[in-house]
Amino acid sequence: MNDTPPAALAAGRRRRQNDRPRNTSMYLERLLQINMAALAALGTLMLGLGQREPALPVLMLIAAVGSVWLTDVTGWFQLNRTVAGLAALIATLVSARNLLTYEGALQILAMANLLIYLQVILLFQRKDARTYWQLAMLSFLQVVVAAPFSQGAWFGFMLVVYLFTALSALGLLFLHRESLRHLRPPHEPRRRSPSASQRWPLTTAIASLTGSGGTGTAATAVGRDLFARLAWIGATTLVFTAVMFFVVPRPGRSNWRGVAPAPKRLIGYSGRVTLGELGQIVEDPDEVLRIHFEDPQSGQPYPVSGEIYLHGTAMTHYSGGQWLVRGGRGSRGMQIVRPSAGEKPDLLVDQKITMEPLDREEVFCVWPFVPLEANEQLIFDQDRQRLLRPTYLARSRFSFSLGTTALRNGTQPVLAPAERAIAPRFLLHMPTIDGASALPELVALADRWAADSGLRPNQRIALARHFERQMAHSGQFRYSLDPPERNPEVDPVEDFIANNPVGHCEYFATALALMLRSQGIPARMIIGYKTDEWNQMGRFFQVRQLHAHTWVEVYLRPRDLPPELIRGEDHWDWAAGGWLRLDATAPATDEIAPVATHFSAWHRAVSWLDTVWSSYVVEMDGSRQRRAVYEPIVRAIRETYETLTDPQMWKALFQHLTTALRLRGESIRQWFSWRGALVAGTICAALTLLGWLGFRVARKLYHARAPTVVSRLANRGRVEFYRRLENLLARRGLTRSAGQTQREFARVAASRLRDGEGANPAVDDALEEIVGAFYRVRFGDRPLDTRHAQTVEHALRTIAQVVEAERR
Amino acid sequence: MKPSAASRRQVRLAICREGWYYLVVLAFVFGGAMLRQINLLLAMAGMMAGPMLLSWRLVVVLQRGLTVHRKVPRGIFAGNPISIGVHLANGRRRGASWAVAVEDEVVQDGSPPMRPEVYFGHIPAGESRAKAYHGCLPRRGQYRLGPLRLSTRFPFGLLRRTITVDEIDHIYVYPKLGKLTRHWLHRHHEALEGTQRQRQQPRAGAEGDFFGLRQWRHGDNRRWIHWRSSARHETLVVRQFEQPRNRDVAVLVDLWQPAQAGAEELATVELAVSFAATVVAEACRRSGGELLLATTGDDRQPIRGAMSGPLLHEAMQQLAVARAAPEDRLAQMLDATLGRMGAGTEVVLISTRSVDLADDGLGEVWRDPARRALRRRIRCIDASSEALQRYYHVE
Repeated sequence: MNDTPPAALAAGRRRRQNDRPRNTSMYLERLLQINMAALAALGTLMLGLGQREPALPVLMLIAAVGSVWLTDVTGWFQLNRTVAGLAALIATLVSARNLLTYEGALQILAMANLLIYLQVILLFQRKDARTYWQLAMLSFLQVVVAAPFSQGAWFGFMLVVYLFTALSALGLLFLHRESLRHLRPPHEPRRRSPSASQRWPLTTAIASLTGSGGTGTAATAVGRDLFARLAWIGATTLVFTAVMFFVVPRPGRSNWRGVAPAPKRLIGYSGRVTLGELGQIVEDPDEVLRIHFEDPQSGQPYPVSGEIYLHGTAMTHYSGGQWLVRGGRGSRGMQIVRPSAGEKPDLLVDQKITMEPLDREEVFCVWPFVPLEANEQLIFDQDRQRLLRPTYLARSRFSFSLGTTALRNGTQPVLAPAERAIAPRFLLHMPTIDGASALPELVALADRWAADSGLRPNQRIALARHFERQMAHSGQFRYSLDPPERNPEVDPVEDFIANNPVGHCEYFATALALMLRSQGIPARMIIGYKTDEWNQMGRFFQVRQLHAHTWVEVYLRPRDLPPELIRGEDHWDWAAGGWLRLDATAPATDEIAPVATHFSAWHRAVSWLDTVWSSYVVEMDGSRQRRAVYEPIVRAIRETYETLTDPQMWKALFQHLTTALRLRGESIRQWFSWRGALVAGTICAALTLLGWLGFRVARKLYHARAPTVVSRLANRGRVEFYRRLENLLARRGLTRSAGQTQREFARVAASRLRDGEGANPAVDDALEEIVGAFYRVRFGDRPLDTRHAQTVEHALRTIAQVVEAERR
Repeated sequence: MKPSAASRRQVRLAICREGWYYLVVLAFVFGGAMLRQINLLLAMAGMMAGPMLLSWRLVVVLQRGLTVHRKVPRGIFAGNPISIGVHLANGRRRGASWAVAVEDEVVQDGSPPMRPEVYFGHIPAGESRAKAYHGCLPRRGQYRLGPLRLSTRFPFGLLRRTITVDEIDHIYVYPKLGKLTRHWLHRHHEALEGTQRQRQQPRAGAEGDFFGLRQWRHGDNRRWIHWRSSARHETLVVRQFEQPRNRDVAVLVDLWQPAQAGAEELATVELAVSFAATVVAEACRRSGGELLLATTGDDRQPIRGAMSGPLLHEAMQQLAVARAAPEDRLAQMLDATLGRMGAGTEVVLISTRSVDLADDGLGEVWRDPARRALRRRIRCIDASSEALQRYYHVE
């Protein structure tokens, strides 16, 4: 049995009812608090990921969750204004010190850190509308700061998430502010200060009228349809952003790349190779470059299969376990890459390469390269046979294009022409110690292999191939990224040959090059990349740090070249001889064999997405915009126009349709074409759009024509014009009483207006005209025609002028 | 009232303060993107511009199909609480409206306008919501309500679109009512009795139904003396008869004030009007008879009619807008009203000054003997004197 007295129940009910508005508005504010905390955390996450600094996002995430619980929900911890101000001052001072210490981009990052500190301070304060605005603004500034630094596709994804969160937060903040603005205390009569007269009690009272609506309405505004509306805004904003992004012209000729992230350090590649120095090599999947091939004539992708070798630097001089560059004719310097004056080779393939920011100036590509256009950013180092770019460009993403004749039938052949004749003497250098060979074991092994092959010394290609096979496939040598401890007393390659036949590609290439030299075959070692990672979605080869590689090139004089290589359609100029590529590295063992995982497809998709993002968003400059956006649009418009104005097309379409109607039972394939369907669909869509636009324009014009409107209103509302008259006269304080007829009221109004204005027959006539029209319409059931409607409209304007003149 | 093309007076779109801040930040981001050639900043500029443009679109779309009505009371008494209802309906079949503020304008001539605002947080499609604004209007008079302004800043408070609906209403704030004192009521009763006697004398034979006994007064018909009761009470006692107690009342309000009126003079005017309103309300409450109300100060015609609710409202409206004037219009008012009064009309002349009906300035008024007969029955009340407190007080 419930012993609660009814009075107590009623009081409780009343209390609950009183509490309801407060609770519902708290619901809105709670949502807002959570949303703002999420916004702050997202902004910091984007900034932190751009800096590759996970500590700050984690700190902010903890602060965001903690502030919602400790400050907003329970109120256990709230910074008062003094403490918050002090904390903000300290944060500013710390950031200012960093600002003065650092330089360049780091200064911006110091400012960004200040934004994070301020956000944390704000999160732990008791929040009002101003605090929310500050939080939103700081978060947005974080994203602005992060934008130039964050180049990956993940930033785009995060930006979309941020957009929806921000829209939700701003929408909720707006509703919260509006409800607070209209949340006023119950009305209490206000009074002036006591005046001289106390006889009349209302002398001191002040007129006041206060609105309502703040309480209770706030939470009802927050529902599924609100978030659906905000989601619609977000989706439409994305579409708008895409259109604006691609349409806004990019001025200037320089590349749009923003601020580059910190350049990556190349692992596995070095300009000076010292055997045994690297020790264990860690395979790094970080991206180095992407390369895709195009047919320069058609602009279509050029299919390439198998592995491709990207040339970096050529090493010619080996001594004491170290490869150096020592040219045969002294230094020849650098020269800018320019196209030659002659005709371009027929079998040219365009290689488009995008390199990530790196800590080295070397540029990698498939050799031999053929410049298609002058590129002052590409420099050819003739001594070391390498391509370079300026140092300042190395620290940003770098794209360039070069032709190559190395690809034949979709593969990269092992033999390539030499651009100039080589004096083979410096490619035959062998290290010596006190006049004796420093590599006796290596030479001995080479002699043994040469003898075992049964080949003559002038059969250089065959001999080199034999040596390559022996190194790679004899099983005598084993590939490992973690070579054993070398004997410091002997040359590392000698140790590799004689004692520890385990090593990575540098050992294999060095050993092969020196063994060939010992047999009188000029050879050099090439450092570069070898990849077979083909991205089908992006149609490019991916080159990563782990693809770093060394191989050997043997110089062949023209007389050493096999005749079958230069027969037929081969156009290369072999007058200077050629280079035979030899890759002696043993196949990878199981320990390092790439393992296909379930995430391979995912990685490929992410990689492709990254490419698209980089190419069409981060690096969208004027020329790319012209190629990727403007020209296709213009082309599509032109083609559509030509298609639509082509009588043959219409004729064919008509024939297709008639045929289709006749051939009911036959295969749809006989008459259906996607092109025709596309054109028909486009026409239908265009006609629908035109019709809709026409309807809208016609409706606007219809509304804009005042007499027509009057006529329409007169016919529909019948006495709408008279209502307008009453509204006009009401401004003058003239209202028709219940017992007054329209004509009586018009007479009174005429006399009153006459008093204010003086004799004005136009007013009398206007009133008479309107009232007469009213009686005709209202009681005579005769709608106004256009002429009468114009007259009434003119009369109304006359009355309006008089009333306005009096009011002024 | 529907904010259709016909009733819309003005549509105004303005950028709010937050909107200007937003535009400055947008310009900063866009400028940074173009100057520093950073594509991601350009994308962010697009993401900022989108909500701005959609705000412009939404404030237009979400105000379509909204209809607003105002519910105005016929009249209220000065100083009493007032509540004016605002009814907002969303006539669209799809799409709710959010954060719609309806601002009304309440203005009395010569006073700064008041702009109460009613906020509707959410109006689902096809539904309506009702709110009200409250307050107090201490000054009597006619107030103009309107135009109504529907405004919304949804969804982000960046843009405000306001539709001004040219819909005008008027509300009369009647004079504040006071309380008549016992003294007034007693004198009123005496006057009533006198009227009764005057009415009954010519038709002494028609006494009506017996009602009771009372003490004899001068002028009573001797035939009404109830001798048996007189003997028992040792004083003359007369019979009372049930007679129609209707009587006509004329309230004449002379609102004069000096050209440079001070607070005292203004208070006197208000007291005079309030007293007149109280007398009229008391008369109409009892009903029966006719009421004539006339005021000086403007050119309004006197009100005359059977005492009733509608007449009370009409009288209150006249008193609500009655204005004092420095011109002396008393003679004019008397001239216009005395001829319309019946013989037994109780005439109350309430003035803001001391009035002497025998004054030379009123000589023309009393030239007619019939009017001279009425002059004796006119009760003059000077609102400026302390004597008013004997008849009436107001809190």
